[in-house]
Amino acid sequence: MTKRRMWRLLALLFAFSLVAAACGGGDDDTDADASETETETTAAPSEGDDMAEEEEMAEEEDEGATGALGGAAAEEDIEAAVAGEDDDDEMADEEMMEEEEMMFDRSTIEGIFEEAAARRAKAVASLTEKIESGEYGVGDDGILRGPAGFEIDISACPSDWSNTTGITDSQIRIGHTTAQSGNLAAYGNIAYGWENYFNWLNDNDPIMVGGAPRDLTLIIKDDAYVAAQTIEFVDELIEAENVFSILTLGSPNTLAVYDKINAECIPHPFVMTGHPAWGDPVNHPWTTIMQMSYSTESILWGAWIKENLADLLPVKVAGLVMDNDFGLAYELGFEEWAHENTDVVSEFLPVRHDPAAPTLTNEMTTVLAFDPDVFISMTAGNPCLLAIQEAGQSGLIENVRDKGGVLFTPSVCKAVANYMEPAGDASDGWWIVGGGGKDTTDSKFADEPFITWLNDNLAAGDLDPGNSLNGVGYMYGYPYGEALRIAADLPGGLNRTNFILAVRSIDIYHPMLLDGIITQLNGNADAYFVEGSDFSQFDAAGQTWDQVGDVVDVNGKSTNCAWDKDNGGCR
Amino acid sequence: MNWNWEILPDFIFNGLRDGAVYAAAALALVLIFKATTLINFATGELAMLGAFFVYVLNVEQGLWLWLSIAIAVLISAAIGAAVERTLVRPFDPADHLPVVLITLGLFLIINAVAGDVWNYQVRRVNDPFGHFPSWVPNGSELKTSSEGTIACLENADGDLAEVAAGTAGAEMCEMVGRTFFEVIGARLHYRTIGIWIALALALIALALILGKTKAGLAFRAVSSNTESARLVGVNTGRTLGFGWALASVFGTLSAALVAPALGGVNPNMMLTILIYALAGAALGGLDSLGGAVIGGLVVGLIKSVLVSWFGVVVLGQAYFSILQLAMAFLLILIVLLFRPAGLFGTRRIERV
Repeated sequence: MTKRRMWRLLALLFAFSLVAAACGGGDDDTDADASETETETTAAPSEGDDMAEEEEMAEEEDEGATGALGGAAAEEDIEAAVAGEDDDDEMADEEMMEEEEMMFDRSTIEGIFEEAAARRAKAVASLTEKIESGEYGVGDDGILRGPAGFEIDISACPSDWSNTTGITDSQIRIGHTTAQSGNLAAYGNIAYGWENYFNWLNDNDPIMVGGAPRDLTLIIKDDAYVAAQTIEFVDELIEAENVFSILTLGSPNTLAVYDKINAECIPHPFVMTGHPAWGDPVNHPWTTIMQMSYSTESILWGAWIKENLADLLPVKVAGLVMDNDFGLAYELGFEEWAHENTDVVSEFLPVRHDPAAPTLTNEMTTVLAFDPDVFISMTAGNPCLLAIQEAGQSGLIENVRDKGGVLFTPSVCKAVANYMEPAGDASDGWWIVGGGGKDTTDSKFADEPFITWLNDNLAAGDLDPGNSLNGVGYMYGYPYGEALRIAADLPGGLNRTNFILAVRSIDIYHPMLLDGIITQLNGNADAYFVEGSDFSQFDAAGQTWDQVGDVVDVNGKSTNCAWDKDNGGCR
Repeated sequence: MNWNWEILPDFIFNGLRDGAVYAAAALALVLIFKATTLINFATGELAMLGAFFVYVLNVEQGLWLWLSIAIAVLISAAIGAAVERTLVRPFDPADHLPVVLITLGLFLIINAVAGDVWNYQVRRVNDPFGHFPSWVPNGSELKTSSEGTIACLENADGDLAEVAAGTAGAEMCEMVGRTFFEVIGARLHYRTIGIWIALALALIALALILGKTKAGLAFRAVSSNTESARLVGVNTGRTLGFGWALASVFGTLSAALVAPALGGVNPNMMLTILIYALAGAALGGLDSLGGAVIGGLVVGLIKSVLVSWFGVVVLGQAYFSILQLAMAFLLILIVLLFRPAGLFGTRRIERV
């Protein structure tokens, strides 16, 4: 009997240790790092700091002297942009964009396609010239060279690597891991929209390889937003499905596989996550970002607060953070900015939530008890909606607004039909740093030619145009398709090296982003595709995001980010 | 440590509200367990399906919310009985493995089918307890302002009209339109009270059904000893079907009540709730109906008070927030290790 009891106690001890491990080491050290920073921000300075700590802090200050957060532009650049102070580069960009706008008719789908074709032709001509001159492309030394010092040592790729894996006689096989079950399953709809766009390309303007059309074929794997599943499926896509390129969704999922995908020399562009780590062309040249990075978004929150809440400064800010790599990237980004701007943010309280939590009542009660002036939701999926709803129910909206403060929802929660409309009237008046994206269910864009065209395509493909996330598939699919088409016209035709060259030098007009958002990549010099955003406020009556002020864009100014998996943050 | 006592009542109310939902779902689990001595892993998904029926009837077809819930409950009961008749009864009741596998399969199938039909998009539902007048039939739906208070009742034309004139009318509107009472400085939402009342009424109804009806008597006999019940002429198959139907009723009720707090209905709405419900059922005793209710409420309180209030607020440890689910698992483990029958379950005594 005693022995039995002892076994029970041992089992219990084991269970406790599992729980302790789950809270202490389940995530990477980003978690711990963010907690430490949080203490620095919210608690009084600790006594008895030893010399080593002081030196370390001094070093940190030196490193942060430029005010640049990894994966984002320098704070002063962003703040100047928010304040409407354009520098020469920005003015040149704006003039260039205005010129382009005048050259093509963006009010018709034909005009948009005409502009896209012209830009592709320009890109092909420019890249071809450089490839033929030996400046770009794979040299005799086995190095692939591209714009702005971009290099990949192809000789270091696996021995069985081929430049044309995944291109068959009839197909271009693209692997995609996404969440089609589990708590964030709604994001799985993006894959259907993406596939719908590629089906349209296959039927109407197919990609030609060796003079013959090849169908873009998506091989979709449901990882349920579980990183361990993503690892398994990426292995399967590489080893069994022989895909040409891979697309992943989710920060924790992509972080779990991007080393492997890069080691396998497989194109991995326009990933469906805004983690700053995807701006690392030196160490992860095959991976690129599409949307605005979470670091840029975090600074934009801060810059907006500084610019617009002058009477309240310094403010207390509370964040509702999804407790995984995604949410912690936001937390770390804003925490770092707050740490540098104590005159703007007096205290920052991140309240984390379990990504699988069915309700956020307790978390929002904690937020309310902190009595913030500004609330920032740093979550995704269904919790976007819950955060808004619970903010209304708990009285947080009332409290914050009574003090003259504001509430932000993150760019990943912009979808009107998915996250704003179901929240009812509580959604009214929320702010967003929207990343410049046009939501396809936003009444404001309903008559835009590209949106109308894509909604017709969705309906023709038995997909619901009333589901914003189907439309988001086009947002990611469009630059992917453009890069594939450019690569197919380069010397040597479509292959992996041409594709990544096309991606790393892409410069397109993206019809699903607001005018003023520049969409470019430029080798090692510009690793972030979207570096601008709108500031918008939600109008529940009109079910639309009302843009307030001009679009802000700091194109080409974000610093690259070699993500430190052990300690969090950019190295 | 920051003993933030003034917000403790908020967390207690949160816990008791969530706990009531877990209790209703735990009742569904316990009803099946009493009848078959196995856990029905599809309980949550059957409940989710019931909540979608409410959505279709109320939001898409425009039926009165409570009528929609009543119809959905009946449909769910029929589905529960049908599942028992077609998928469970053909198997040997003594061999649990096939039936457990079937419930797991059902869980996956129902989730996938619902995902395919409704696209995992959250569908907004009307809150049965959000505002007082929504408890009464058509024509009385409220419009809320951004602050969560009402403008007033809708008139026949669908416009907002004040039901009573002057300051008194406005005050009445304000009072009626609020979504909560203030109790010791905390917000006690109508939704919370509504869920408690609904759970209490359902429990009374269950007690009456089991205690005062022939079907209930048969169910108690079968759940006590199937063989003996059969020998005295009880139709055990039909009685077990009745148990599955009752369980589906409680599942649907819990899903319909909790849906507004989840932002609406979606195919994954019950995934995590089922785990909390399981912890509640294990704590109370898998064969104890009263235990399921107490267990569910205790789990809700542990999650809110112990983890969120004490862990996050008092201790200031942000990572405690992700321990909510882990605590439920831990609770299940502790109960299974030290008191396998739960707090109120029947202890098995083996004679040799």
